[in-house]
Amino acid sequence: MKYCISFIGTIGFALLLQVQQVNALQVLEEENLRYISGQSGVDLDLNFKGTIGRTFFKTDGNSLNIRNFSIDTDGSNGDAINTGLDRPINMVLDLVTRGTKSGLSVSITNINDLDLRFDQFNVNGDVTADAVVGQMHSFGGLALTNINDHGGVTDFNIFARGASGEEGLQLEMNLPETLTLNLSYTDYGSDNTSSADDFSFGGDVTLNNFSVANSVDLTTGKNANGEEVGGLHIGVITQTGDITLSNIRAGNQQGTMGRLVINGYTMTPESYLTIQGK
Amino acid sequence: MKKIIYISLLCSSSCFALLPIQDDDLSVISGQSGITIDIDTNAPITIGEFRYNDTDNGALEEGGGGSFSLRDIEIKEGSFSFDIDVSSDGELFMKLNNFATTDMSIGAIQFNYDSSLAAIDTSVISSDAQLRNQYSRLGSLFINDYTLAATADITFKLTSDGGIALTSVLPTGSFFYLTYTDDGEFIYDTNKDGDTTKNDTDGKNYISARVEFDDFKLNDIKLKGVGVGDDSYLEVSLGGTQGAISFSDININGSVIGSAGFENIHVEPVSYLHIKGHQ
Repeated sequence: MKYCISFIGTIGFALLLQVQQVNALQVLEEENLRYISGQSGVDLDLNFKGTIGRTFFKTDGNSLNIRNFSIDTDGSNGDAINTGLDRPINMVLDLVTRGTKSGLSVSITNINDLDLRFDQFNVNGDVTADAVVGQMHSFGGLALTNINDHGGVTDFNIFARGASGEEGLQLEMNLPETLTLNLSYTDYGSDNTSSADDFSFGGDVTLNNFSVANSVDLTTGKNANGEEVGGLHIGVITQTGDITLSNIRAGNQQGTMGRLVINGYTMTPESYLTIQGK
Repeated sequence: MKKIIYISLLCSSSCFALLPIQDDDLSVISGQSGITIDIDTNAPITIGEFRYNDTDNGALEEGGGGSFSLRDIEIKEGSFSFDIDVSSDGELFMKLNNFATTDMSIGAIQFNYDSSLAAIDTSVISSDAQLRNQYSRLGSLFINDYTLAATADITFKLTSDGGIALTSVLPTGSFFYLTYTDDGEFIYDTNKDGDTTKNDTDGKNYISARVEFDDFKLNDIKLKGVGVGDDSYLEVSLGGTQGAISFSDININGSVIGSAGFENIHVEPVSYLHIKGHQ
């Protein structure tokens, strides 16, 4: 009996070992790759608050201007006026290999209250330094505020595609399971100094399982008509996700207009955008 | 008696020689204002590979681990000089005082390059390692006619609190031409059947622009080690910014798409970047 128990124990241990080995050989899910230990890399904690007074694109003397594009990685953090918690965004940088593709992986966490504001878009409008002083030719302003990852992880990857038989770069962004933000578009009135004549539209945006992968390449070539079709080629590999816009508000109305839901959004692979000069 | 007088004279002259120089007198002594180093390169400076491995032993790992390389770096012949000074509060300054217009290039920006593997041979079947490690290029970068305006101020500083700081003032008239060439064409043996149509050509598609600075200042980009043990990190802070940077005549394969730029860049002092390692 003693030997029998010992034999069963040995068999059991061997089976357990086999089960462990089988498990060890299982393919790791991509989502779990970021948790692999034993690799070196770089951790970054970023606290950024800054403004670009004017970002422009100009052709033949005409310019599209973005006035006062500001980024604040934590809208509630401390500055000269408001003191608050120090909550930097955390980034983990690793060089990774996925099949034949190699590249850089950035995993971003602790997006608590990220604000992106564009005070004004205009064409041939106000380009003065610092504050916006004129609304001529203005398309209004846009604010994406209180961007929150709810404890999830945003993955951003850059891969070289050469070894997979393709050209150019592959850019991937996988947003966390739930990412929320407040959207506000403002159509300014003619009065520059008062907001009483401004009209706003906005709501609360929720992105679920949103994933984007694009190829970026410089290309040359002509189509069947002999027209040059090369340029900066941005192709769609995948774009999927769910989008919800809730608590829609317009102007100064008291109530909200309900909710818009886009489920199962998918951009067809092979779709592309080409930017070329004339 | 003669001997006594001689010894007295000798003694008195030696004593005078050992007298310290007064501070007031020091200020008129020439040659006290630091060191100027002039460097002329009569041939290009070349670096075969500048590599970052994110593993200690450089081994590749599926899913994690690898390397990033800048290959075939070349800085064309040129000249520059800088002054080295030490301030009264113990800070060491290295200020660029002359910089001749020059060209620089990076032949390949690449992941996981492995120089021990044979180059791709189109007449034989390539191994997986060859494909993965020789083809993961992002492209090439060229900087031409890098010119600093006469009043440019580029100063490195070893600060009295143990940090390193850089101040860069690029006045109007400072510019360079930037060209990115793509990764080339890759048609290789996907079926591993020895198909000789595979090849690897240098990139030929490009995007270029003239990068211009207009009173562009970065004040005190400072790197400093903070803390000890597991809680330590390298802190990067920025004292302030000003001015504009523009990309004119953005050109894709010979066609100009326009110009773009940024003006009045302002970074709040609460901003910082902490860098540390992980395992």
